[in-house]
Amino acid sequence: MSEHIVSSYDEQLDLINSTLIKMGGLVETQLHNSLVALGDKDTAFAEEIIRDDNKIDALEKEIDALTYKVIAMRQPLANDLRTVLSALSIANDLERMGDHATNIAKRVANVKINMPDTPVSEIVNMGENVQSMIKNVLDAFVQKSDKLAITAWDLDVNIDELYLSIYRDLLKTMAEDPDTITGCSHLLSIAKNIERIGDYVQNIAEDIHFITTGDALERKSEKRIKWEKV
Amino acid sequence: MKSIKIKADNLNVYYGEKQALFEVSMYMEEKQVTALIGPSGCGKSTFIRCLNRMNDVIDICKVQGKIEIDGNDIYAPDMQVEQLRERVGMVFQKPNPFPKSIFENVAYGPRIHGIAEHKSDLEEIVVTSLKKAALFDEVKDRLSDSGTSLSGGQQQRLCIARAISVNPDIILMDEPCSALDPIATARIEELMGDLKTEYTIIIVTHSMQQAARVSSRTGFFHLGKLVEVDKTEAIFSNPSDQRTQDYITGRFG
Amino acid sequence: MTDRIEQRINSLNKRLNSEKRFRIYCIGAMSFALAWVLILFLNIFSSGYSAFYRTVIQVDVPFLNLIEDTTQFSEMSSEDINNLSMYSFSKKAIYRLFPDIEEKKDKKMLIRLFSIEFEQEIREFLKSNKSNINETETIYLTASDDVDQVNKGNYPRDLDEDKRRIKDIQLLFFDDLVDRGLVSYEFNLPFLMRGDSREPELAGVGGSIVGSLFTILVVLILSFPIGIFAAIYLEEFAPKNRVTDFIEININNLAAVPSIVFGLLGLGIILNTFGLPRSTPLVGGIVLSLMTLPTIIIATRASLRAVPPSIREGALAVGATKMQAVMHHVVPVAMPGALTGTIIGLAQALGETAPLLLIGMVAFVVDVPQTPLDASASLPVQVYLWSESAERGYVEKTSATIMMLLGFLILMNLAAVLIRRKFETKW
Repeated sequence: MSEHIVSSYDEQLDLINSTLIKMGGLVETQLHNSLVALGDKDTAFAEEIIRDDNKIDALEKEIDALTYKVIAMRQPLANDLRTVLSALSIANDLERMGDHATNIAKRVANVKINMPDTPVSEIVNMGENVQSMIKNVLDAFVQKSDKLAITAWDLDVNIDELYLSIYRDLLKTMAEDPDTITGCSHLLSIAKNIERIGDYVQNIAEDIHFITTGDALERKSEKRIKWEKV
Repeated sequence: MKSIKIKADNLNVYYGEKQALFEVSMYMEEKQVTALIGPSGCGKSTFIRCLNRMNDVIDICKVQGKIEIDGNDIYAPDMQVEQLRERVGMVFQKPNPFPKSIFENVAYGPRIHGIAEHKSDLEEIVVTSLKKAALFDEVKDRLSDSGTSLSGGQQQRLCIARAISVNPDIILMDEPCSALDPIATARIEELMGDLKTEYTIIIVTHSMQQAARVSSRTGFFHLGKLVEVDKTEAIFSNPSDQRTQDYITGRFG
Repeated sequence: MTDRIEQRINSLNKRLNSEKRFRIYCIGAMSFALAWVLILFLNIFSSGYSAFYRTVIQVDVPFLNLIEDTTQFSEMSSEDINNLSMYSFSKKAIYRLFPDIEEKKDKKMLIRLFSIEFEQEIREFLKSNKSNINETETIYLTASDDVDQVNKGNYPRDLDEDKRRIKDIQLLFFDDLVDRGLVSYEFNLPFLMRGDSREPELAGVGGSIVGSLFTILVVLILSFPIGIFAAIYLEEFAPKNRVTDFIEININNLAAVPSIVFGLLGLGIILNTFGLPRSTPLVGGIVLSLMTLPTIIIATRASLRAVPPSIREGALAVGATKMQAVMHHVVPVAMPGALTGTIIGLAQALGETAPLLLIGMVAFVVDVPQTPLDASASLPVQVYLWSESAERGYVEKTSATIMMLLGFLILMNLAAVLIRRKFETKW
């Protein structure tokens, strides 16, 4: 795509882009760190992670300000308009993702919780899957690739399956050993947080599709969570 | 879908040896605003001036192809150009009221076309036209003042009143707001919204935002060719042609 | 750093100084030109103003000596009064000023103090006052040219008698009349009303004024419509090709042709071929029209060209035909410029002499012309004629005529400026 005649316009769009990528990177790190803290049951680390959430929020505010400025100054049209409006939406999604990752750390930081090991490792595994989803979608954003976006979108179905199986296992564990109920409840919430992160990644994939094609993504997943099987 | 008022079919226009328009075909809907955009020298002004045969004034201009208004070819040999211009009015880029009184400016057209004979009929037409052009309240006490004593925006509305005084079907506007300040521009855009209920309006504009605001269909011209013509929302959110996108996002032009 | 600033200040000062010098040169040149114009005007004015005044001598005329009952005059027609023999009666009335002189020679000198028309003047007085004649009436008779000039101080009185026209005894008579308060100096209305004459004191510029007026009228009637319409056609309707280019070149050249050539044209074609009467304002007007046409056409075309094309487009867009657009919109806007050009052309025509000489408007014409078909002179021609005469009395009249001519020219040019200013449309 050729450059704008007014080069400062391109500079502004590039800045929005790079800030989003930076924010995405921070979110990736946040999730990764939370999973590590969970696996190691490291409460001190968890406290650090909670503080790091501020950085993500700050970047969202930055992106808000940048997009308002571009809209007011440049009156963008066509693909520029789609890019700028989607940037707002993606930043919002990333911020929510960051919050969910932080919530994991918040639960880990609570020293008194005793979380059983097996479910924890399953959850960490699910988390790692989501991590790769995030990486895919960020790559899709950087390369403005519709294909990569759709690939990332499709991965969510695995997350849903994992969530279902973790849910089952935790219920079984709680039923067998009532002492684990507190810990497992927290783990249920943590699993939910991770599943929500996956949904937000899907949103971002849809935004990327809109930016590149100008259409909304009409796609059905092949499978859906069969709650009745629980 | 509204009915088609104007249809251009394979229009080629030459200024001497130089070709200005290449096989332009497009239709314009009745009682809608159609915008024509494109960089300087792309042929949009040439095109709009073909619609009321103002290009006849230029000796070296040759027009090939067909333009039909309500199904009648306007370049047919038996078409009286004065009658054509009674049905197709024009407002120019720089307001050009006659150096006569405001009343005379608006009354001139009806008078020469024999639309109004008696003074009272003329007065009625003048008042109606000025009201439709949203100018009457500002000038009702000074109709005998010179047309050139008004501000730029008022002069342009006077020219609009002059154009509608002969009761045309179509109003052509060649960059009508380019010489006006933002408030005068906004008034004219508001006026266009009212006028389109009665008249078919074709507007040439340099401002993308204006085209997006006022028109329902937009045509993009480039180097004498009509590159793309579509609903306005489509052109400005997701145009089909890369050249169109590059132009409206300011990537060339 | 300060060096550079100093440099800058120096070069700025140089520029300001050269500007000052330039301004002084311009003002100097203008003052020089104005000074000469002033000198010219003062010269003409000082020699001409006295022509507007004339000397008259008061004489008591005893009408009772002509007829016993003065009331009878009221019943007489002009014809009857013309047939009355008044020559000796008039002379006797003059002799009464100096009842003591007896020598015939001296009496003749006395009569010569008055203009040759003294009898006619008394007759005219009788005709215009016939219903109300007293026994004795006081009449102001025109003094002769010599007396007039002496009264105005133009004749040197200290020359030898045989070197001047006025004789010693006449001077004695004159001085005596002055002492008696019978010599007065009044505004010279007849100068403006009468035609030319062999006698300087009776010569008037009225004939030339009317002659010039008729001539200009003919020029206006002929050249204005032809010029304006020709210009409109050439500028707006004629196709742009070699033929019209050729016409345009010729019109421009006509404006530069020496005026005497037009006189030859008038002589050859209008007088000889068409046989129109010589010396008439009609012919003079036709010849001058040919001269003025190019000026009007060029000025009108320039005004038409100056009308912005947006006016034309606006009219055409409303559905006017080309003719309507031109006549209703373009021409009214161009009219002030066209009128200005016309007035300037007329002013030029007013001052033309050479062509009029050739077609004969240089004849000695006594009567004031009544129609453009009567022979007459024009103002500049009159200047030419009088400047050739020997009598001192014609000098002041020549200058006075020049003054009037200049006055008319200034008025006409002023009218041109005012018209333009009043009707100029502000864009």
